Amino acid sequence: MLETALQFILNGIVTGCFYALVAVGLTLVFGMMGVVNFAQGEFFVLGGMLAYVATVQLGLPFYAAIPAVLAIMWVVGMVVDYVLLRPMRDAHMLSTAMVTIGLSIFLLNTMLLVFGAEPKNILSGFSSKPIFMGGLLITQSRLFTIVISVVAIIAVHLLIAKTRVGRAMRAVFQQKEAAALVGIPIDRIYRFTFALGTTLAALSGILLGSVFVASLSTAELTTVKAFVVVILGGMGSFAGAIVGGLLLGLVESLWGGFVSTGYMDVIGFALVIVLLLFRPRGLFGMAEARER
Amino acid sequence: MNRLETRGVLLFLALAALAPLVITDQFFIHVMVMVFFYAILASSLNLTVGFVGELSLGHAAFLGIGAYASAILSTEYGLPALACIPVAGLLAALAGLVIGLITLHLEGHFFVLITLAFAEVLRLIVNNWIEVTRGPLGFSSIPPPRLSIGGHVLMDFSSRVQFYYLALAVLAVTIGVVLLYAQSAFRVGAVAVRENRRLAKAVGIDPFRQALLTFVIGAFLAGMAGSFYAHYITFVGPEVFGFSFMVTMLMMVALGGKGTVLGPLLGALLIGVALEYLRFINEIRLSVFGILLILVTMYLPQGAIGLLAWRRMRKAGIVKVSAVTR
Amino acid sequence: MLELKGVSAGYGPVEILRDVSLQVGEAEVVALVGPNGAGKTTLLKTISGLIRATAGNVVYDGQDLTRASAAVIVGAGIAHCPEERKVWSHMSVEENLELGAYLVRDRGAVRRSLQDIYGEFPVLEERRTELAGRLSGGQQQMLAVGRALMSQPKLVLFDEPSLGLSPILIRQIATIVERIHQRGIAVLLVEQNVDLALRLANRAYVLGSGKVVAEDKASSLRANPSLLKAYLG
Ligand SMILES: Nc1ncnc2c1ncn2[C@@H]1O[C@H](COP(=O)(O)OP(=O)(O)OP(=O)(O)O)[C@@H](O)[C@H]1O
Ligand SMILES: [Mg+2]
Repeated sequence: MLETALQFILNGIVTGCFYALVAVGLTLVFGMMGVVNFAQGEFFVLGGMLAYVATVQLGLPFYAAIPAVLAIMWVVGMVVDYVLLRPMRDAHMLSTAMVTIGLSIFLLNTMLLVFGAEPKNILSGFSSKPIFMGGLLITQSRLFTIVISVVAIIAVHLLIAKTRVGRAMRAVFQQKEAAALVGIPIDRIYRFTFALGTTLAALSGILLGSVFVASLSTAELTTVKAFVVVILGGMGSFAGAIVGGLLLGLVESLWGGFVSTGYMDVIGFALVIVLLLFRPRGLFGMAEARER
Repeated sequence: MNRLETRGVLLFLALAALAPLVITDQFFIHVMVMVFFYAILASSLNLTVGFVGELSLGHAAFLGIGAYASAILSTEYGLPALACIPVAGLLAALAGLVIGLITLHLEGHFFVLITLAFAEVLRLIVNNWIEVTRGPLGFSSIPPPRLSIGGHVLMDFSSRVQFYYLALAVLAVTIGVVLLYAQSAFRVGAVAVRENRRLAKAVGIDPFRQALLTFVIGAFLAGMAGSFYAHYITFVGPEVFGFSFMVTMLMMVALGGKGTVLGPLLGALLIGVALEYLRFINEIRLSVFGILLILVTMYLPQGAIGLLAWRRMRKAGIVKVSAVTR
Repeated sequence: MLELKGVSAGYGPVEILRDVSLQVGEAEVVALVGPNGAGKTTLLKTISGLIRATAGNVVYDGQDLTRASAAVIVGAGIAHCPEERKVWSHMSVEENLELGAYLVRDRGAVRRSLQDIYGEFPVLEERRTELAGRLSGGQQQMLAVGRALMSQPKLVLFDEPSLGLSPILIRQIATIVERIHQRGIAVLLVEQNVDLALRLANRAYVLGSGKVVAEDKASSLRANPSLLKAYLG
């Protein structure tokens, strides 16, 4: 019993890593730019699909495919920000949301045309033989996922906390006008942040694709779940996204393991709806109620 | 609401009522039935998105509730289809009341996300609650409506034209409701909410109650649309809760012109016709939609109707500086 | 050194400033006064590139900055100490100051400016590792001033630095403005506290409803309180 529970927890952590990586980008972009990116799930899937192209169709080794795909996704993020978001900087939030919804529809259906509907395997080169750790078992690719996610999260944390650009990001986030006045190029910081978010979502998609399969059908649910994580963790909060992601992964895994697999995907929404019923301002009080 | 628009709406309805007398092509009739269906949906969504100014991404939930209510009531309980339509509307309105009570307190972004989450939850429940909803299989062979007086069958809906007029009737009811809404004090209230919450409060309008009322009316209309859809298509599955209906309605509202009465009708006509006649480009259709949604939002924020109205006003020399509306 | 020629500006379709012309000379202290909502803040924002002029020109040291970005303008030597301080409350005092020198690439120069500021405001050095949000209002104002000086400006725009401060702190702010002036840095000072502004300034402009309604030597304006009263309402 205890061992089963631990196994579910371990699985939940892996899933939680996927959610956390997707949600970090979403929360940064929201917190700083006030943009709700409905295409985040598509960026996630695109990462997986490109990794499939790189490893299966081009025959690149997995370790080379990852940076290549991430570099491409970085550029994708920059272009999307430049072409679609930059002209909408002063627009109403609804309009920006419509633009990202349009982007998500476009990306999803174009990927459907290009890659087809069937799920894709990413060749990670890991053997599928599980590793036993005590009574727990974990596959190599899952272990790899956890390691890479932790590295990525620490790297992003250091980036935000220690570097010049990270400091500029925080400055823009906290007090945009002052940031502009000391000469921080707000527009470029936005672009950097958006590209970072895009790349992290893609990394999550690559990792998930290497553990399971990369599938277009996961895009929409991924976006919505990432929103759930962002709300749980507090909009705009980096640490909140990580904690919220892991929390959602764990709850889903335990619920699916002990209660019912059918409603596994519902649990996160239920959590958020219940939360908002009792705390309309969100878990961390970041949400602003409408009547101020 | 200006005279141009009222005339446009009346013209739309009149032409629609007369069209089957001239055009008997069955496919055309079908396309128009779908256009009416979409027009009801788009008009109902527009109440919240256009008049209150909140982006609800959960509107497909009301369509789905209406469709499922109708499917279950008519196949399992033998309720006549024509009675199902208002009942489905009421059930959807009830759901709207509950969801609205929870979500409308939330600030912009949260509202968008949580309404989407609600629709998603309902879709997942419908997929899994097999005893009631039959899961992914859904309901098929949903009976058509039938209108009889004292055992004498007046209409049995064996022909498409009868559905055509049924859809038109529901649409007319919808337009009536929306017109009433737009012209009554509601509109003053709702638009005040959209423009300025604080101001609305200052003049004694409770923005929350206003938004809730609007939301519930929208849910009622969408529920009726869902019910009609169930009896017309005769099949209902979990995809009625899906994002693709949501996107289609949103496109129609955006392209036609949000916050107007005629706009959603125009949007439904343009996109509905394109959807049905351009089946051959079915595959790239949604990709094109995505781009279209982006372009319309960025370059034509007032929609097609805005373009018309603006032209007129500029001709009349009314528009000078103030064309910069969002 | 700074010259505005017929500048108009506003927010979106709303025009606030109409045809404003003004000059700030080398190492001069110029006061800008006017009633609430006259457009003083808007004028400073236009100079520092936060909003774009819709007509006219902003020229600085012979360079046309009308369409320049805020970053280019700071780089050119104009620092803006904004209304309501606008410090980064979740960052340390030192981080706030260092960010003031965001465009200064020379690390040594940044350290020297930092020492300089700490010399000027010892309390900031005492509390350098604390979050700026925890400072008192007066200390936050000093931080905002220090931050503006960190970019090594030749012209500083102050927006109501005395607002909400105690008389002692107001005197301190006055001293600081004087010392900045002594270093040969020009100052454009927006103040509600007209007395203070006119005491510190060489010349003054009075802004009313987005227009310059008067311009004179500070001393002559001070000598004519009834006129001033008429302008300021
Ligand atoms: N972001 C904005 N959008 C629209 N209008 C604005 C904005 N900021 C200020 N205004 C308007 O511009 C006008 C001038 O404002 P401004 O802040 O420049 O005045 P001010 O002279 O600095 O006043 P105060 O002494 O109160 O600081 C006011 O009528 C104000 O309502
Ligand atoms: Mg001001």
